[in-house]
Amino acid sequence: MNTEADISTLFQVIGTGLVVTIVMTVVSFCVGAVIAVPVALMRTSRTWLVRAPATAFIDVVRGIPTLVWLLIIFYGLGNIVSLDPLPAALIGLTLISSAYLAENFRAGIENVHTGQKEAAAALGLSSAHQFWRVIAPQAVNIAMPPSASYAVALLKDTAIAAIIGVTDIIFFAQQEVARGAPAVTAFLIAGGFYLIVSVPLSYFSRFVDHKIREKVVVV
Amino acid sequence: MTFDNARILLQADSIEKTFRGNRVLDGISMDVHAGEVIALIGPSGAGKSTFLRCLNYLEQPTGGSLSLDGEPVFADPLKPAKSELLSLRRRVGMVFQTFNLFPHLSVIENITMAQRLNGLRSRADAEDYALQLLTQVGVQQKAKARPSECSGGQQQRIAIARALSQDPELMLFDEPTSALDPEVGNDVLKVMRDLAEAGTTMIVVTHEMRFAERVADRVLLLDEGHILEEGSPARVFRHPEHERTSRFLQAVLDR
Repeated sequence: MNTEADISTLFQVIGTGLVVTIVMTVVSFCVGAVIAVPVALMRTSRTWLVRAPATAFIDVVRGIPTLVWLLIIFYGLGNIVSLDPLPAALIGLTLISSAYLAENFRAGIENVHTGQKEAAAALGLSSAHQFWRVIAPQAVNIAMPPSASYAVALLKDTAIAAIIGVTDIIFFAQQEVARGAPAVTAFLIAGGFYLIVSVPLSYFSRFVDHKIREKVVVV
Repeated sequence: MTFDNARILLQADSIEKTFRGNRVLDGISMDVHAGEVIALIGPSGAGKSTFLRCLNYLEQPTGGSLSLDGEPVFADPLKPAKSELLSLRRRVGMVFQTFNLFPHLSVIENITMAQRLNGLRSRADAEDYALQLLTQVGVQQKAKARPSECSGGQQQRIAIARALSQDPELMLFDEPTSALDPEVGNDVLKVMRDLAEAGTTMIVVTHEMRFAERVADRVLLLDEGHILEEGSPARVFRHPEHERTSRFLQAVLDR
C-alpha cells in the first residue's frame, strides 16, 4: 500500500460516496426546510394547543442524537416496512433538519421588529398579508445566515449514516480500511472530500450573511 | 385653519386602557371635526401614545367606544370583528415615531403594496399615485431606493406618503419628529403643515410646542390618563387653567 497508484485508487473509491453525501445533505435540508415552515408557524402561535405539539416535536427531535434517530428509524421502521439504508437516513436527517430549521425560522419570525407588524396592521392589511408580505420576507432574511451554517453542520452529520449502511464517503473509507488500506490515509481523504463541499458552503453562508446585513438595517 | 364645525368625523367615548391592573387611560372622550388638527401634548407616561393607538386599535381599549362619521366602528368594542378592524384601519392612517418602513421593499413598493393588496388601485394606478405622493413630500428622487438608503427625515416623509396612500379620512401621528435631528424634523413638520392647510384631519402626539401652537386648531394636554386641559393653542399656551399645565409648559420651554 501507500504507493501513488494505491492512493489514487483510494481517492476514486471514497469519492464514489461523495454524491450520496451531497444527496443526503441537499434532500434533507430542502425537505426539512419545507416541513419547518408549518412547524415554525405553529411554534409562534398564540394558542397553546397549537404551539405545544410543535414545541414538543422540536425538543424531542433535537434532544436525541442523530445516530440514535437513524438506528431507531432504520431498525424500527424497517421492521414495519422494508426500508433501505438511504431512505431511512433521508427520513431521519430530514426530521432532524426540520426541527433545527423550524427553530431558526421561529427566531426569524420573532426577531422581526414589532413596529413592522404594527405598520402593516395600521395600513389595514389582513393578517395573512401582514405575515406573508411583511413579516415572512424579513424573517427569512434573519433566519438565512444561521440556516446556511446549519447546512454545514448537516453535511457533517450525514457521516453518521454510514453506520446503517448508507454508501456515503465514510462507508467507502471504512470499506477500504477493512480491505487493508491505512486508516489515517483513508479517513484523511474522507475528511478532504467533506472539505470540498463544506468550505464553499461556509463561504456561501458568510456571503449570505454579509448580503443580508447590507439589505436589512434594523431600526 | 378652517374646518367644517358641523361634521364630527371621529368620536372617542370614554376610552379606557388598563395594562395588567395599571390604569393608563382613565376614560378619555374627544370629538374630532373633519379638517381639524389636534395636538396631543403632555408629560411622558401621560398616555398620549396609548390613546392615539387606541384610535386605530393597535391597542385594544379595555373600555369605551369609537364612532366614525356618527356610526359606531365596532358592534362590540371589546370583541372587534376582523372586518371592522380592517375597515377602521383603512380609514385611519398612522405615522410612527420610528417610521417602520418595510426594509425589504423599495420606497415606491412601500407605498404601493397596501394600495394593491387592499384592492384600492391597480398596479399602474398605485405607482402613479405613489409617485405623486412622493413628489408631494419631496422624496420622489428616492422612489427606487431602499429605505435604508434614505435619511431619517426622508424615511419619515415616505412613511407619511405610505399612510396617505390609503386615502385615509384621518391621520394619526405618534411623535413623528422625536427620532429626528431638529433640522431634519423641520422638513417633516413642513409636510405636516402642508397637509393641515390642505384640510387633512390630523391628530398629532408631539413635543414640538411651536408646531402645536402654529398648526393645531385645538390642543389637548393629557396627564395621568385623562385630559387635563383642552382648548385653542392660544388659550392652553397663554392662559392655562391648571397650575400643572403651566409647570409642564415651563419645563418643556426650558429644555
